[in-house]
Amino acid sequence: MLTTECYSNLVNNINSGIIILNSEKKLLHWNQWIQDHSQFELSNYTNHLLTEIFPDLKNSRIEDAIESALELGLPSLISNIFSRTPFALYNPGNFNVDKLNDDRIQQAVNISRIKVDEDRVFCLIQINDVTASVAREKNLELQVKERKEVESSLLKIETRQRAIMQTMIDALIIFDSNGFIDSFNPAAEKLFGYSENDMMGDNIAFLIEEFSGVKELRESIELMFELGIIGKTKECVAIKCNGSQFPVDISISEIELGNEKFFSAVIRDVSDRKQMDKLKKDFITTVSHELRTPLTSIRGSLGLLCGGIIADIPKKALDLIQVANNNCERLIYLINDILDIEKATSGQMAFEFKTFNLKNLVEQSIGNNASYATQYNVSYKLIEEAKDLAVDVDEHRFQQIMSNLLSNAAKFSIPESSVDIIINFQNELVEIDVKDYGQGIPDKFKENIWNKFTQADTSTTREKGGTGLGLAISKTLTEAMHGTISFTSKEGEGSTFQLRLPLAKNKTM
Amino acid sequence: MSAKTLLIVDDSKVSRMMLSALIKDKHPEMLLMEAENADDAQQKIEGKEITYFSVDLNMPGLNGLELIEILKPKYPDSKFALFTANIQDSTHEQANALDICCVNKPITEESVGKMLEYFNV
Amino acid sequence: MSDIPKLNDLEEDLLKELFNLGVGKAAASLSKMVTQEILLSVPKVEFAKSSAMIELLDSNESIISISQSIHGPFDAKSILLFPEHGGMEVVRQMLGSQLSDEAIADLHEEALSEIGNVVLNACIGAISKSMNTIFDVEIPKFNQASPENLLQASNLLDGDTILLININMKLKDSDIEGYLAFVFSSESLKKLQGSLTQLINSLS
Repeated sequence: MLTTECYSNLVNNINSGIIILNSEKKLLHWNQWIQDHSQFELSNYTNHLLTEIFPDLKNSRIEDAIESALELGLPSLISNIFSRTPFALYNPGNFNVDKLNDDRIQQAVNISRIKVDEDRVFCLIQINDVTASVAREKNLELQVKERKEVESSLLKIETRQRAIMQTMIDALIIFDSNGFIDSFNPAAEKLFGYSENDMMGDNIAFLIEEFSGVKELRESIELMFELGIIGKTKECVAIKCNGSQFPVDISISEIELGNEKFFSAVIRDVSDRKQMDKLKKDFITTVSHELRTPLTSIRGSLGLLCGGIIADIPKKALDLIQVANNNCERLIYLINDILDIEKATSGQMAFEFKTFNLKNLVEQSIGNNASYATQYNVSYKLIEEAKDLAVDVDEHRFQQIMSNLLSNAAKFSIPESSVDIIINFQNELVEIDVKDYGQGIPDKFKENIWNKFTQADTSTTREKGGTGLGLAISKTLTEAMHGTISFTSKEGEGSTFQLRLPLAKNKTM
Repeated sequence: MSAKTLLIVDDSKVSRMMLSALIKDKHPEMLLMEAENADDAQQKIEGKEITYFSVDLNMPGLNGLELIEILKPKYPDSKFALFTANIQDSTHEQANALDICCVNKPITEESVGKMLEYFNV
Repeated sequence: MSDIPKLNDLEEDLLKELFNLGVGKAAASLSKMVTQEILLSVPKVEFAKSSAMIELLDSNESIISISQSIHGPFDAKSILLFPEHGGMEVVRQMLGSQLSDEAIADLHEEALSEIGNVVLNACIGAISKSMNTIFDVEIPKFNQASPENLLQASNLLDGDTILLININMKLKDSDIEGYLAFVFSSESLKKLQGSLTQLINSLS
């Protein structure tokens, strides 16, 4: 049996508050814990009513509980849940003299009756500090809430993305870095004729003709990188489930998800577009040929008549025939130009690249266009500011560009002036400048100068001839030969057209 | 001078018995009537003069407050007391609004005394 | 196995009034705890066999019980019973809807022990006052068990007689049905009946 002293020590050392009241609700004793947490000296408060010591206990559950314990022997549980900080008790570690309500420790209180004998009844109040577990619970609550919010957002995002994938019109296929398909949307199912279930785990290589020869499935990705498909749109041939092939545009992007790499391919059937292109090409070719044939024949006949070979023709009649002949020529040039532009822009023009000495080429072009010089009373002057330059070009097309530039320069020069053709080498590029000292180009036309069918004004077309396609063709051809073309011009002073081409790989010839 | 009449309305026979006993103890001259619910009460008092009403709150049918609302205008000079085990504020507020006395059960000498004091007997 | 005593009208009346008093006070206390209006009423009181407790509650879910034993001139065990969903609903309504389901599951045992303590104390108190007796009352014990295990968990025998009291709890958005059971040994039962008779006699 423990002695009174033992019990006394026990009560003072336990980690809970103990308050004992007598049958009149006056303080008999409290333990060290209460002293530490209230900073009240026991001796100052014995025999005081508890509600005097802790005034805010008046009319509280605590007061009711004390009463029912003493009068009816009823024990009460007053947990922290419904009654957070009934007593003015604080953490002894950081005691604030102001004793703010917010600083009170979180409490759980038990109140019961102790009956020693018929005459001696006491009220026992036990108080526990539950601040730590309350804080833990709040933390857990917060975590749960956060987790739920994250889950909810993720679900929203996933749902939305799924909706987009399911309803988009283009086929979308997602595959991993080995080409194995991770998802296959309804549009893809429709396009290829496979269901998503069929395609899961199969390789995308089977769907694209360009990849179908690969032995190791992984190669298909490397091949894609090689072909330059990743990050761009490329035309390929796709294979339906029934084996039929059809042209598609594929755009593939890389996706990085954590440590894994995935690819998404958007695929669009371009059979219609290709058919359209083919129709257009065929139309132009056909029409051009149909137009050219009779025109050639007409020119032939007119030429003969002009030449006086057939008969003597009166001057007036000859003049008229000459006009007809000129116009015929113009029409033929126009048709050729249109064909050229179509061919060049649809990538169907065949270029035969060879290495040439630039000076030779330019001298040749000057020779070719001598008639223009004569006609417009200008002189072409070659200025060689860099020597021994060579370029890789298609000779015919180069001459075509030069003819365009030289004829324009002549046309728009003042009579008896010169047209300078300057060969130079700058910034790794060969530069040919064609400089005239004529009218120059008005500012308002500068923007549209490279467009089809533009000339400074329609009057010049009639006066100076030309189809209006020359510069457009020159630009297309230049770019096809990996060069650039530009100009500077001042009205009344003249224009300089700059043709730049890469230096030939074998630098000199 | 006719003796005063007190009507006890309560669905619990025991409560009615207790009230009668306690009131008779203090005022043996008082005439007592009993009713077990609102309908019963209205029937029994038809044409009679009632000086005091002691009405229980929780009864089947109309509750005590509803009954008092009906009877008060008919008996402008009589006094009404509401006995209730329901000691929540809302009940007391409603009683105050009607300008009647609200007494907490249990029915004891004390609570009956409070009612009689209000009646000013 | 003793016969179930039958309450006569006056006895039933008296007990109903008594428990209405008790739960009325409990309702007031509970209301103050959560500043919500809570109404408790006792529609019915009767003697029954302890097995009746199980029959009244749905066997598909577990049963929550909070019990306090009392000792004195007679001994008894008071038990407050809720079907699981009812008990959880009480906690949810009283603690507020902003708490997550996890938090409510965490706290429900502590909360219901406290709520049970309030109700049982009020009823025991009402009995005490009417019989002018003070009992030794134990602190509440919480239990959650399947209906089959309920009797065992409460140390009840199949044939024990209980005073079975229907309780209806009206909270802001819910009506919850529960039961209050007082378990008496045959000795205690006799003493209780004696006290009841005494009370009634004192009235006439």
